[in-house]
Amino acid sequence: MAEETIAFQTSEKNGWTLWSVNGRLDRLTAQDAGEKADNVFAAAQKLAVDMSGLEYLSSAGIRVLLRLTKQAQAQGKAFALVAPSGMVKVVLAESRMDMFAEIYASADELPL
Amino acid sequence: MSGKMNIERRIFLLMLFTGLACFAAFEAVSFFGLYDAQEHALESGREMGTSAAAFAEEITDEQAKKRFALMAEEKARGVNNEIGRLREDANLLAKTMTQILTHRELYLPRDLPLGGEVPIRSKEPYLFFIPALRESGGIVDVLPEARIAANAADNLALWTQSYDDGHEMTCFYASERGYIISADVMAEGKEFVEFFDTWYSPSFDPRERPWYQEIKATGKSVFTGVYVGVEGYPCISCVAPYYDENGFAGMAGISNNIATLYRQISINTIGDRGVNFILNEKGEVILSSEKEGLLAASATPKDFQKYGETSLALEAACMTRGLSDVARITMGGREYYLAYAPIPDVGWSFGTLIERDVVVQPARDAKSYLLSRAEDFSASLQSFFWDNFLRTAVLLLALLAVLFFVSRKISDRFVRPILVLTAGVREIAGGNLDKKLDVKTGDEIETLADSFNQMTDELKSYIDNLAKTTAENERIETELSVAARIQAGILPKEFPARSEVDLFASMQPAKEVGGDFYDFYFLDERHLMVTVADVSDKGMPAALFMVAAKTLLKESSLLFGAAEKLTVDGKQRHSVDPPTLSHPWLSVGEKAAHPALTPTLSHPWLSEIVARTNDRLAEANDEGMFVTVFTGVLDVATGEFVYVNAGHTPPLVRRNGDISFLPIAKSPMLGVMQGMDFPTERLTLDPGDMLFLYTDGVTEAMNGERELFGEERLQETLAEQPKERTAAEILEAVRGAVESHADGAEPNDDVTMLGLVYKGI
Repeated sequence: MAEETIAFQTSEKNGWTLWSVNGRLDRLTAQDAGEKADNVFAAAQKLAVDMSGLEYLSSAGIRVLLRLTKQAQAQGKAFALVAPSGMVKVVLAESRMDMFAEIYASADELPL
Repeated sequence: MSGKMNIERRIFLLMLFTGLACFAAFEAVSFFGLYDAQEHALESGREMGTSAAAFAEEITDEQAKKRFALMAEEKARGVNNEIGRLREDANLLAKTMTQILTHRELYLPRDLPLGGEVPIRSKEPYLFFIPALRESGGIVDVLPEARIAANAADNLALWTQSYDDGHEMTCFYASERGYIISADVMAEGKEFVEFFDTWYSPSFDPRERPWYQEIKATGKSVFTGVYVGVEGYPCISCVAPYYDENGFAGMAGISNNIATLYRQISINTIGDRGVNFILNEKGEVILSSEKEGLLAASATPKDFQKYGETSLALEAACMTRGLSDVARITMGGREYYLAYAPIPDVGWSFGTLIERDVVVQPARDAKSYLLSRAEDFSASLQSFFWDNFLRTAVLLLALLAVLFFVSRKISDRFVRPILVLTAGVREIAGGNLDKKLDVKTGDEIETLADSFNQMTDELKSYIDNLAKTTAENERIETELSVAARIQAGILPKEFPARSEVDLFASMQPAKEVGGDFYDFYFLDERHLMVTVADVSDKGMPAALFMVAAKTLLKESSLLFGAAEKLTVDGKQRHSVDPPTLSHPWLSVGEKAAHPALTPTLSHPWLSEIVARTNDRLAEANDEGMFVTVFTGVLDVATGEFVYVNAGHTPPLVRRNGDISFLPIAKSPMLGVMQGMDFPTERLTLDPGDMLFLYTDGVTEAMNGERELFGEERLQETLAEQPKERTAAEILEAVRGAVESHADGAEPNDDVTMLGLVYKGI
């Protein structure tokens, strides 16, 4: 890979594990992101994907998000998407991710 | 080992030659050093011998001269004493007779036995008359004086006693008048003699003797020459004149042997050729240790000053002049020392001649001894030198042998790892990448071997990787080509030739095949169903999912579409069994489809079709794949378009010349979850309006700067299209815009478009 197009960061917010995904989440970075997410999710009860730094989201990225959604449902964990913007927000809307996962405009809106 | 100079041989030869050179240099230096030393020692020995000999000769010469001078003086003194006593006594005898004859009146006549008439006894005086007097009868005339003179006879007897040394001698008076008074010492054991040859020979007249004449003339005592006496000893006489009142009256004399003197002269010569001699005042040899030859005393003596060799003559002149010296003379080709000293009482000279060789012989012996020692030393040095040279040579050979083996061993030890390395590398080069070089030398060669091992490891892992990657690539290539064939094969290529609609669709697969598809078909004469979908994955799984999605959707549509038209609505869709292709109802339904049938606006069957397709796709979707679908049915008679957007990018629509996006999807993508609802939406197209369906491969096409083509550009592009343009032309224009945006960048997703222009009836 010529350059790192994605970066991750983990923090805590209101009892949620806030997993920030920055850069591009596409087919090239999907696998890496999926593995990272699994690790983070394994240690978290409530996982929120902070998308404020996400610039691009492809169908492969959506697939990762969907997988996490299903995983949360199966394990009875809370899962949410936080602060999508721009193209990402459009993609999420167009693909109706809202029908599978909770989407919040900012991390502050995450339920306690 | 061929002609090639390998490293082992080079090292070996280098060590060998270096060693050889060192040894040769050492040997040469020691050889020349020793040779030089030997030569020098030899030369020094010779020089030392020569100079020592010369020195010794010089010293010897000097000492000999001193010694010989002393000796000559000693001998001369001895002779002088001996001879001087004789003269003194002769003078005393003469003085006595002169006293008697000049004072006759004081003496009584005395008779002596007549010699010749009685036997003559030792040390007794006798009277003699010369023969001529006896014959002439003049005895009577002489007798009175003779009787007076006989008073001196006791004196004679007395002298003979004092001279008696066991040898013959005589003391006598010989008168001018012809009588003789004498006393003799006889040789031991000889009582008497019958006659006395000398005195009684008939012809003998003492007055006729030369020395008688001499003393008569000179009035001085004189020595006779040396003569051989009766006993065979050399004798000498000294005579002195005596006088009466008339003057010269006769001579007194002592004849004595000089045996002791002679013996001393004869015996005490030095060396075989040494000669002792006495020269008289005339330069004549009167006594000599030589019996014959130049220096022998002779009855006819020679004057040495005129005779003999030049150097001898010169020295003889000095001798007769009463000088003393030690000279070196040459005689008969030989070198001699001549030492001489004067015998002053008689004006003689004692000389002793010593062959120089005898004197310097010890020095010469010393010289030759030294020389021979030097030669010996040189010889032993030479032998030592050669021994040493030989020993060194042997040692050198031994060392060379050692050097040879050591060199071989070292070069072998040095080169063996290289050989091991070479063989190992050759084996590796031959393809055995499992080969490990085992070189433990602890030096650069080990480092090299380690590097080789590392290189081999890396090469091996590279090759393994390459093999894996190649296999993977091959697999992917195969997969992709299969997927691409499936995708291409499943898409409809023939577009409906209907006057009501102008439809065109295209799909440009990306390098890595995606799961896009488009579809269109008439459900019946009036209803055209169009679909554009995008499967979330790529490659073979996506292709298969796509096939499933497309097939399910199409078959469900065809079946349910027909069925729905016969039933009232599709609210109880879950009660309806999935249709099968073998259902006899299918054919009836299709045939029964009638364009005149007015579909209800709710179109619950489309929702049902999509929902069923979703259920089926979600059924066993372990991969978590999904597909976004935009599907709709156009009533070509009315322009009514009923559609379901399941999570798909909103299409664009051109109505009355305006390009706008349809609302975003109301439904989620298919395959995620079962039991979802897919409500329909609708719009009505007027003739000239257009629907533009696409996948995100269009809007998400990127250029080199990762800039998306985007909805806006798409919208603009479509807006630019003149109304007369066909769907195909419009799609071509969009494709061109996308391509020019990408500016050569490789598309990473399928680019799928479907254009539907409604023309109306």
